Amino acid sequence: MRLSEVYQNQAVKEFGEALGKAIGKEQDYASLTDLEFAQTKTDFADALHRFLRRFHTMASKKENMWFCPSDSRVEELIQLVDEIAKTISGDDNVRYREAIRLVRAALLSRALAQATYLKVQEIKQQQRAATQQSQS
Amino acid sequence: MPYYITKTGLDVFDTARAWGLAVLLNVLTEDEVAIRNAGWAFILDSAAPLPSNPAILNSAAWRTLTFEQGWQQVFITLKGAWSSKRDRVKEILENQLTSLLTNLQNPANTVKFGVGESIPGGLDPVGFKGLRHATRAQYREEQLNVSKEHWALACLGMATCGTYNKKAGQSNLVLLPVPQETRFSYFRDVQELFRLPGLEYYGVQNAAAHYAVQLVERLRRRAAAQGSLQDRYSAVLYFGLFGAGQQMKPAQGNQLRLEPLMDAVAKDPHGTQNLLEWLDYCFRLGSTEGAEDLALAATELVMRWDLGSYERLVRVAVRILEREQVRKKKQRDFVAFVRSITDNAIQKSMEVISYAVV
Repeated sequence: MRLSEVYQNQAVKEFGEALGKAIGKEQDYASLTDLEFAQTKTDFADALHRFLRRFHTMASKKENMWFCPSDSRVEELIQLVDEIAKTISGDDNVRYREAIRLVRAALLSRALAQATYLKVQEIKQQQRAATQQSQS
Repeated sequence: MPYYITKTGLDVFDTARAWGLAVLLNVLTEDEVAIRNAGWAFILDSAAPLPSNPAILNSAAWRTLTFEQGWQQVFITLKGAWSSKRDRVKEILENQLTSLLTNLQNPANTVKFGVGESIPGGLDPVGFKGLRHATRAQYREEQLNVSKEHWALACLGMATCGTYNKKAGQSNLVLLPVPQETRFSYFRDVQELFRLPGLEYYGVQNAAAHYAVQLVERLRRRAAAQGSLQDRYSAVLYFGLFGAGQQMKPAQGNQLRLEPLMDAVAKDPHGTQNLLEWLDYCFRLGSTEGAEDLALAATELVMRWDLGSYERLVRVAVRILEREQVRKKKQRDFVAFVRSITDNAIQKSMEVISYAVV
């Protein structure tokens, strides 16, 4: 499976965007590091669950409620890892490590796009505020 | 009538000869010249036939070639004697033009080694002693001599189409693109393609990767305007030179393959704009103190185009977004970098990775 195909997966999209919001708005680099260090399927699933828990806490504090991916999306992501691992040759460790790398790269790409979008909004807001200040 | 630059195995020397002949033909015919890499040779052809008695002495374009800044860099190992070598190149090409061109029309023409002029280290790092054989603590190695006509062609090609980049405290970076299939009407247009912005680079690989991105972007603009990619380059040859006491010595060198990016541009000249912009700003922002990892990650991606290097760049880019000190140092580049990361840029880079893998 190609990275561009994984990138289009709905579960990847929802999780990636949530990760992007967590990084862009709450500087949640702990989840990013957590995901980066996951080498096995169990580690990866744990890291996703931990992130989801953190994200629920962040979202509950927001006035305009953030969309939270459901628990079933974690299962979908793990199923995706399984599917990709089937197409890779080698022993289980190698296959799952490579599959996790592919899914993680797609997740981080979504997160980067989302975090950047938020950053652009922030920059625009700052520029507007600076313009208003100089006018007044 | 085609001309053949048969390859010797010395990559920089061969490519420089091809560029040298292309410039020479362009000056003589004042018309379009085409270069094609046929694997065993570079095959050159000019749109207009050569004059029956070719003479370049009266050509204003030829006279301006001696003012190229590249000459001093080609003969950097000779220090003050560089201008006499430049004049020697000029003299050989002016006096032996007819016999050289006749010889190059023969597909079986070869370069004689061991006679003629020695290849300077600023032209090709194989010109340095100690790289071809074990020296066993003594410089017993001979100079690498080649026949003088080919030597002159190579020097001309490197002085006109090679890119030398020198920053204070850094090694001298040398870059030369390898044409795959290209044509030009005036050699100065080609030189325009090979400009390198004056950024701080963290080594020759970093400079070569940025040079590659800039070259492909300029070709993409042409392709977008013309509707398809007309000129293709297969690689960028690069090497570094550094001062060791009184002498210049070669540092690392290699070639950077351009096919993944070229294929992406050929497939979608408009769509790849975002990707190339993103990479360009990675290098620009990466030249800032505190964002070196961004430049190195972008370099790795342009060099390898694989999943590992892509993932690394994405990770670094995510982290750069929150580096306030980088933002403060280069506000404009930071904002441009952030704006350049679009969904389209990300998807295009993923497509390039899949081309590279397949």
